[in-house]
Amino acid sequence: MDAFITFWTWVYALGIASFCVLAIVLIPLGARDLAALFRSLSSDAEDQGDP
Amino acid sequence: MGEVFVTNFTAIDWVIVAIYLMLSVLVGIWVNRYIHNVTDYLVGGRASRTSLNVATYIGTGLGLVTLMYASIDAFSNGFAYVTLALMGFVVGVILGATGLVIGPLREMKLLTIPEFFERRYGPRTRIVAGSICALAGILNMGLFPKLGATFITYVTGLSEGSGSHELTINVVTSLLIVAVLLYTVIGGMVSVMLTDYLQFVVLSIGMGLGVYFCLIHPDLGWNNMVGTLAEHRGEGMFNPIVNENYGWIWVCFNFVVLFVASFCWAPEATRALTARDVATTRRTFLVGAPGQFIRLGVPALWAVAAFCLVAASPALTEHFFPFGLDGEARHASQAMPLVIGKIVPSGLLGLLVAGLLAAFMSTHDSYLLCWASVIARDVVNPLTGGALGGQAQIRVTRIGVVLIGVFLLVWGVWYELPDSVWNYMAVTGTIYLSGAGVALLGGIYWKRASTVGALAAFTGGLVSIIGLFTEQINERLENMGSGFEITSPMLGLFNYIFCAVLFIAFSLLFPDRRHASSRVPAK
Repeated sequence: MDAFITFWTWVYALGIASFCVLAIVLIPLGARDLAALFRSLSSDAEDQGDP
Repeated sequence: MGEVFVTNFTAIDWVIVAIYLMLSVLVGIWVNRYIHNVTDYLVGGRASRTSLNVATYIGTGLGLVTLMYASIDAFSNGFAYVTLALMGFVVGVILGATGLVIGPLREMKLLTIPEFFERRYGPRTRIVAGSICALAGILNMGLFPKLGATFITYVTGLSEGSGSHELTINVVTSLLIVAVLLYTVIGGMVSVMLTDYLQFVVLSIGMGLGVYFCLIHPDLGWNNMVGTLAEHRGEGMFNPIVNENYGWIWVCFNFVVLFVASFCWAPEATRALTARDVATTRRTFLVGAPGQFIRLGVPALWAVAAFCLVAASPALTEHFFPFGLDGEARHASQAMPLVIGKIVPSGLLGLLVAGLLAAFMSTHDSYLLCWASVIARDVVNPLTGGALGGQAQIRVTRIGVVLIGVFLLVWGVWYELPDSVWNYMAVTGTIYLSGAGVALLGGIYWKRASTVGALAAFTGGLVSIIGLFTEQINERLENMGSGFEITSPMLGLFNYIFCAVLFIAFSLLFPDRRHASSRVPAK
């Protein structure tokens, strides 16, 4: 059982650490992509002659 | 006994939650200005870049419902349940690294997954696939409102109130569904992507706080939680193979479910379609893989923390483990929200609950839009001979969203929760996934896959409905004196194999006249 406890300890340490890094990177870059998505949808509408 | 259900949730927390939810609805209405055609409405104009796509992919999976069913199972089975979280991570890495299925799907510029079945197998198969997909999906989300209501009841301490608290929470849940319906109907996929992104931000912070307070709490902490679990419930809490509720069949069944669902289950698989190119699709699955671990791993940790607090309180032990701490758990759905309400301080608790309620809405908007768009594009439109234009499809999708919402209000709120919600989710999902998985894989990678084979596989998937009645079947078997007992994972795993055999056999026996590979990109 000790081996399993050590295993889950490492799994959680690595899992939570990697998600923290992911969140720190994704929050600002996701906001940038969101702005780009709105620009893209607006320019598509202008190209189609929508008001 | 009553005071054990008191939590730190106060008026200021209600204010935080109300402001957040109002802002979410207003944002959904505001983005309506960006919807100009059916592609914008259903897949956000296929313009999503990697970071946004990953954030919304994780946001979709991080529902309050996910947190609830994960914590229910983990409260009884400890870290053995987290095996699912690891499998989710591994599946994400495999699909992202190889582009298996998700790459070809994005190349085909589909709006929904059943569209593939029309291109590969013809319009009849698309209608059958769309109908079974919508049936399984809507049944699958039928328990969502009840789980949300249970969470709200125990995290806010409303369970302390009068006998009418259940009614109050059902009303609150109904209001939440109405709010979700409002901005899903108006905003479509653009509002889903925006709100999923905001919910990813709030939830990342909120879940981080939840883990932090578990680890620093004087009665909890990692070593204490692990030690308490090991002392009272033994090795089965850490090793899924020796756990009496799990075993190899459970592991194999769930790996297949997670693997097939990641490219077939519409809410998740839609992220393969919203990305702006194939490389972005692959990066979404690869980079988002840690999110697949966190979405089950963190609520499981909270459930273990709940067990630890329960073990330290005789009153709670009597409520949750009337036959002793090594016995069967009761009221497992109440444990995680209760412990969150007790260990997170007021103010921060409001932020966390707002994030989790946002997650509740996030899952609903993604699911509602997916199933309604499947009904509109894959069932109604083909049945009318493709006569629905873009605006008409949006109208039918919106009507579908409202009708599903009505079903959720009537059936979901009043339905009794089963002992293992995860098993219910996996079984209802298997109704569609067992047939769709082989038809999709075979359709892309096997040239001899035929229309009859695909239809046979989809029909075979309906056998999974039996999995919802295992309790009644086992009672009959016992009355007949049979020592055999069937379980949902056993039946589910059998059904995946059964559908694969049907698909291969009928494809070989009844090949298509016209070579189907001409309809889809050759692999």
